[in-house]
Amino acid sequence: MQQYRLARQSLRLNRMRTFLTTLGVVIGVASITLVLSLGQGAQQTIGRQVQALDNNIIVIKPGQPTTGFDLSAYNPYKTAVTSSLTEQDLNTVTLSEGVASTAPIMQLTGTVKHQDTDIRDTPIIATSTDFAAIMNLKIATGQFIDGHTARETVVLGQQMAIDTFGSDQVLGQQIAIKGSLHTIIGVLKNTGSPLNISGINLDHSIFISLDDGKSFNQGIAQIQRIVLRLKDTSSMNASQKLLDAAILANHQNERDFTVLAGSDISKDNDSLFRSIVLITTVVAAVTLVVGGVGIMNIMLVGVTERTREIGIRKALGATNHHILSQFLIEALIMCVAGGIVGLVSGYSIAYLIASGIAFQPAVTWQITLAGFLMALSVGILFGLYPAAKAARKDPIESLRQYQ
Amino acid sequence: MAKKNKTDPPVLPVIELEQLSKIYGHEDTTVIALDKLDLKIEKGEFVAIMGPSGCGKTTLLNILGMLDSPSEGEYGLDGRPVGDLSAREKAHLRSSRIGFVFQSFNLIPRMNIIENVALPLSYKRGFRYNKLRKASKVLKTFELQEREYYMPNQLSGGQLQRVAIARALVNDPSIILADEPTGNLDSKSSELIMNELRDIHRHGNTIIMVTHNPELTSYASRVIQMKDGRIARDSSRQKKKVDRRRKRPLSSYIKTTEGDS
Repeated sequence: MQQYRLARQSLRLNRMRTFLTTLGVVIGVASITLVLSLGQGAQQTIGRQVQALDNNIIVIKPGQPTTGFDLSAYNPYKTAVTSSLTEQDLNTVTLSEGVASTAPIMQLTGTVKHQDTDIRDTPIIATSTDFAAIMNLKIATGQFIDGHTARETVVLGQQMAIDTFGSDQVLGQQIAIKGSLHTIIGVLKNTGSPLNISGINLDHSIFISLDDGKSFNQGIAQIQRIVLRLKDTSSMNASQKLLDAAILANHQNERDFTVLAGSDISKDNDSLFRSIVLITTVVAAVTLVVGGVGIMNIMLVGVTERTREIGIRKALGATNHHILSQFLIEALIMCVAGGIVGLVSGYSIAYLIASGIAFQPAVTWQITLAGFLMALSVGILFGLYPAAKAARKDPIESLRQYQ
Repeated sequence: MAKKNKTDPPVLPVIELEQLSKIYGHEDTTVIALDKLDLKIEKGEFVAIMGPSGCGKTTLLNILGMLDSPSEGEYGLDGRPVGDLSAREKAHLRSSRIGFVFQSFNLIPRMNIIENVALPLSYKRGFRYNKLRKASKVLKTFELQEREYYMPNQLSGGQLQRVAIARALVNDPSIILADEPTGNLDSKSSELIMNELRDIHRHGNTIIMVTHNPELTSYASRVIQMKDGRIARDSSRQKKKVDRRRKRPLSSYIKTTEGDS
């Protein structure tokens, strides 16, 4: 307690120095908190989306199942590679036992225009009627595409409609997809979740029928994903195996597809985020180490400056332990205070950034504890050496200083 | 036997040095600061240690204050050998049995007067309030109570040294070690400080003071003159020798004087 009071006193005396030294820790802890908070927020968003799908969704995607983290899974050219999933697979799946509804996802790339303005970064998804039901999409106005609607019709994601037309009351208006005019017949409600199981932002997409999509692709269906809803959650594993076997037969026993169920659906996105978060956390931790070095530096200066004081204290009965704790507590106060300010500002910046994008940063006790413990360990790690140096000083030598 | 002890307890010396040496440096560059010193200081003495620069008086004071340890020999404080004590125990003894008064006052500039006085207590158990109250009480006896919350740089040299003496007294030490307590003061302040020390001595405190100034020895009850790490002259030893000579039979007296010469 005594040492704490002393440490605070000497920190107060050098306000500017204390502030600048602490700033190093604040920045370090803030960046760690920011990265972890945003990263975990993104992961939670993905997790929630999968959970929101009632856990009886199965996704079939082309390509071999990946084990662990594989960066090539995020190869941007991969979408351009011909998918191994065909319309025949879609039919097989639709007719399989236990399957309630099925929808393909055929993602097209191409220009979308409203009058003469280009609408950028809008995924065009060719799918079927059941897609809305499987993905729990709600209609804001109009209807989703169905078998009865004519080819040149389109359904917009709400955000996309608002961004383009300034309103979601756009039924009957027209947009040009790859040069051909389509009439808007419906607008979806915002899902509020920008990242989805297929990595597509549904709020920002436009939806056309599979036939329409095929017409843009020389009549061939390029199915990137097949999503389906089961009749019964309990038969999840059995259905997964059944579907796997059925498609395997279609593909002449070539395993060029993956049937994903449950939490596996978001695994790809999950592991990508996890590694991004990990890498950025390491970078942020480096900032904290730099802050720690700053603390050590200033502490060493302080020990040299106060050599005489150390001598006096020792002459008056301070043990090495007393001196050590006085200086160590000084470093700890700076680190803990820096840690707390860093946590608060880290979370604040995370919310500030997140207000621009559509997911919530995570505020968990794990992140808070991690940030706090890191600050504390930096304090101990970088405060111990200067404190030990102070404690080891010879009282006679110290008293002779400046005499 | 026991009865006799009760009525006439053996007076243990506060400080007992036996063949104490301090040697600095290594091998061929050694400097002998203290050379096989024997010294006993009893409770209530006011000892002035005199001597030219480099005679080892400051080294002696540092060893007495357990800031330094001797190279050879024994140091007993309150009948306890100090040589076997750990650094922690020495620090504890310093905070409880020894009061330091320095030439340059050695107050901590960023702490106010009362905090400076309470400093030796801060390394002991107890409530801060009680410690400050005790410090305040000691300051009162030095008529510095109204200066309690001043900072050291707001006080004169004489006042600072009085604060330093108050600090040395706050833990009720067995001995007060003063290293040139008036070295940085003008003659008027010096006199004041010396009068304070004499008062403290009269209250039964043991004081060991190192000084250059021969005038100050008039305040002391015993004067030790040092030279080249040895005691060249000790006022009390001479007195004692005279006492001994009276009691001893003539034969031993002759032997002793022969040995001395």
